Amino acid sequence: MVAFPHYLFPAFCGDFNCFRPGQRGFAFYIRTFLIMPVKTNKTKLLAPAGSIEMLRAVFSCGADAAYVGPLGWSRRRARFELDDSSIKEAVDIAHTQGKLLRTAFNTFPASSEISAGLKKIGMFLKMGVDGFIMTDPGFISLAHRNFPQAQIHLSVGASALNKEEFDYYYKMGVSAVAVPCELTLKELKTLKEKSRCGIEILVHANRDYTYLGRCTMSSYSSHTWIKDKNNKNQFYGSPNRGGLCYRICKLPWNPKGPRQWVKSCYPAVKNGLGNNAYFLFDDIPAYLKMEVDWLKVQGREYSIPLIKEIISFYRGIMDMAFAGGSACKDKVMRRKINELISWRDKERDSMTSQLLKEGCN
Amino acid sequence: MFELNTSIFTLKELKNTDISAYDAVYLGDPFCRQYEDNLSENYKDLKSAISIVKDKGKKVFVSTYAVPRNSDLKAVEKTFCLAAKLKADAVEIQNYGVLRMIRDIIPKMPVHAGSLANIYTVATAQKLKADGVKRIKGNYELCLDELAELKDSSGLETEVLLHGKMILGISEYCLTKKWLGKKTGDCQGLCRKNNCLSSRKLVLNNFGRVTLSGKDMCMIEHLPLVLKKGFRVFRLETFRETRGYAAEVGRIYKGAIQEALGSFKYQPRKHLLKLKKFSPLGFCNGYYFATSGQDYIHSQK
Repeated sequence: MVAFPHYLFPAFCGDFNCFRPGQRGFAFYIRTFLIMPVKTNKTKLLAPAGSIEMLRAVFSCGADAAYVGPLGWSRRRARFELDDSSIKEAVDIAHTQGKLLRTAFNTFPASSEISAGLKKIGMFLKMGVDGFIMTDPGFISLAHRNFPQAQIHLSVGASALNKEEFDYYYKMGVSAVAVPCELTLKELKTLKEKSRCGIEILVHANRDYTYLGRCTMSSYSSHTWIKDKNNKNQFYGSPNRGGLCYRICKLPWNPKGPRQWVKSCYPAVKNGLGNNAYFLFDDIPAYLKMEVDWLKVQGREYSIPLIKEIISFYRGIMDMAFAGGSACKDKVMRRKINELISWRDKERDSMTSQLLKEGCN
Repeated sequence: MFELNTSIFTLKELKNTDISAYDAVYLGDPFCRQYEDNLSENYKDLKSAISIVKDKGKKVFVSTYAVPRNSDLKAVEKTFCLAAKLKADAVEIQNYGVLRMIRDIIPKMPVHAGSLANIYTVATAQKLKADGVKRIKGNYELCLDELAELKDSSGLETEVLLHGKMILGISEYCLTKKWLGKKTGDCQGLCRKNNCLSSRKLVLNNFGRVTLSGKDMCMIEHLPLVLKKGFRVFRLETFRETRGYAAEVGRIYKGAIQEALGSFKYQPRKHLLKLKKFSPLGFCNGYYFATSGQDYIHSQK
């Protein structure tokens, strides 16, 4: 199938930001136009949608699918989640454009809420939702038993690390796994070869110094459990349970202990213990060659213009690679990613300050 | 009537620790495969350790590596196969891949699922029961009522942490080594020392690959409540503490549990005062009362 690359004709796709000075060079368009990308690869691009506007934007920029969070059930604030009627609207938008829509139930809910969660899954299936991102093994198991037709993708919050674990989840009904960003290319190749689960790579996400889903530092610092107006449990401070991570590890730390230890970790700990967002770039051609099933961009909480640029960027890299080119050698693309990094960091730093204020007061 | 257990990581620690207060011991460090003389990795030592604990008439469980990647699976398999051969009473897992391997290779081996297995819901507990797991430890973020619900609805033995450091996170790499600029090799045992990191009102104990709470979980004041909810399997986390901590804290809790089970006039104050000298950074109740993990609530009585 011949693609209609949005980045060649951005105005047709409503992507007027692509014309901003300094965002992309003329040479990039010429080079890409001459290559005439052809989609033959099965890897798809999965984008975040923290709102209906973001959903429309990411589809206009070339995302193959988007994921949304049902209100109260995902690892983001309520303002980046959608209520049931908006999810119906999102499904219609996606399907009208030939795209897919996933919903994220990527938290460990309270036991008493599982039956409500199953009802929601049933309702979303009737609406036409194409897949579910889930974390809790028991919830996954029940969802598969009740709705064997549902496509279940394991959230990165489950931190599935090895081929045996992939198989454990496969037998439970999981069809694809979002792999922790710590896994190496070699490990991914093995998983791709030996596991029956599809593979989802997070090309833009956060990387903490702890494994995702295996950290309770935020709720150790500050945790509040309330029931909201919809009678849904909210665990503020616990990202595993759907509250936000207060990014406590980004605080400046003072070491105490043996002199050699203090000397070795100071001043590194003044800048936190390690919690940064990343963009994957150089390894993308290898992932595409390996035919991973999905490249996923995290970021429902970021601004729509930034997410549009990120999706356009990855769409561009993927299409270049499908056509036999390599974006990694492309100076324009390299410059572009540096611009995206500073834009993203600016937005993230502002969010981090706010979160630390909430989590430490 | 009840089980009090703790974890010991090396043969040397086992030999130097008075475990008389405990009914069972978990052997091996599940957080770091490179931890010097880790019983989960040193099979000769594991053999001796199992025999020492069994000779004392106590139950012995073997811990497996919590976050195994593909390259770690062979070593993990060797650990649980040896545990089965030496007739350990159970193997503790934190990773579902390891659970799957045990079920394939030694289907009859009793398995305990630890706190890093992220058991948050009754549905997960029931799924694990169907997979042959005998004992679970809910995620630390669960409150006492939720843990009681796990226990009652699944019918599984549910272990609760009564005292000691909580595990707040596990990393892919060792922070101590990273800071020392070492990729491999000797980390000079710095994670065995009392290292801590503080920021504002928060204190963490950083031990390389695992980050622990600075404060000690302490439930001595609330023992009657814990017992009333029907819990009978208790963990005291004593690893990497000062010499004497495991023995003394174990003795205090053993006496306190017996007192709370036998008397209506349970007096926790004297126990609390004794425990204070072992916890310079203070106490917390974790999430048992649905608060922040570092908060401490005194008993109303």
